[in-house]
Amino acid sequence: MLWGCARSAPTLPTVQNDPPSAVTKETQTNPSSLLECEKLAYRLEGLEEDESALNEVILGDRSKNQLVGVLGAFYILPYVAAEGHEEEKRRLDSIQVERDGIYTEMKIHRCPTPTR
Amino acid sequence: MKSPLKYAFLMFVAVAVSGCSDTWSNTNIETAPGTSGVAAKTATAVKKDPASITVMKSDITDRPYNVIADIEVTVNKTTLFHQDPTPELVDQKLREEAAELGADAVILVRYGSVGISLLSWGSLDGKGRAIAFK
Repeated sequence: MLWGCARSAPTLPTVQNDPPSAVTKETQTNPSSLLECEKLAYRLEGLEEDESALNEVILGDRSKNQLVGVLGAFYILPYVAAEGHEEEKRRLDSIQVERDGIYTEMKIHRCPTPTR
Repeated sequence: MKSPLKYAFLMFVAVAVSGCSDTWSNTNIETAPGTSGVAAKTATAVKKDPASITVMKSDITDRPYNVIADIEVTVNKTTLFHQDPTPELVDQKLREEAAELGADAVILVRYGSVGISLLSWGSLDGKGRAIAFK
């Protein structure tokens, strides 16, 4: 019954230092900081899209895997028909690691908090 | 003879399914790695309304906060016939737990993928960091 198993949520990152208590107007309007923030936001968007696509692939086989699970309770053979999507799950975990890295960079550049 | 038995079985399933809550859940709360847990002890004195807790996938990058604790919740569907748990249900559970801890928000929320687990035909795991603004 390893196929079709729930995937655990990725581990939370180690706590980083808080952003400075006074984020000055100067740092928020510095052109290079703004540009960097835009790039980071763009990368985040790309990761969101990848994540949605991967989740759709996994959820697409959910009904089939449940049926396989029920049949497999009586006959072992149906389990070979279950879709594990291990590659997609690994990719989702690495997307989360990338995302956590982007948040760290956003703190360093004092970017506005992402809206999502 | 078969027909009454079949009818009785279907009735049993219908009653069993209708009488149960759609989901059940379990929670694990841990000190966040890299913290001493002092903020958690201070915050638990003031419980909050779950509706006031913000839940977000991102970090808060422009406002200082104290980390209270890391929360992990798993939402499970009660039977094979119930709907799969959703990220929205996980968010709600995170809100409830964060409110108990006196948090202002749950950040860095991430979800697993719905699938079969040892105890349920459909489980969804979620993790987040409960924080309080300075």
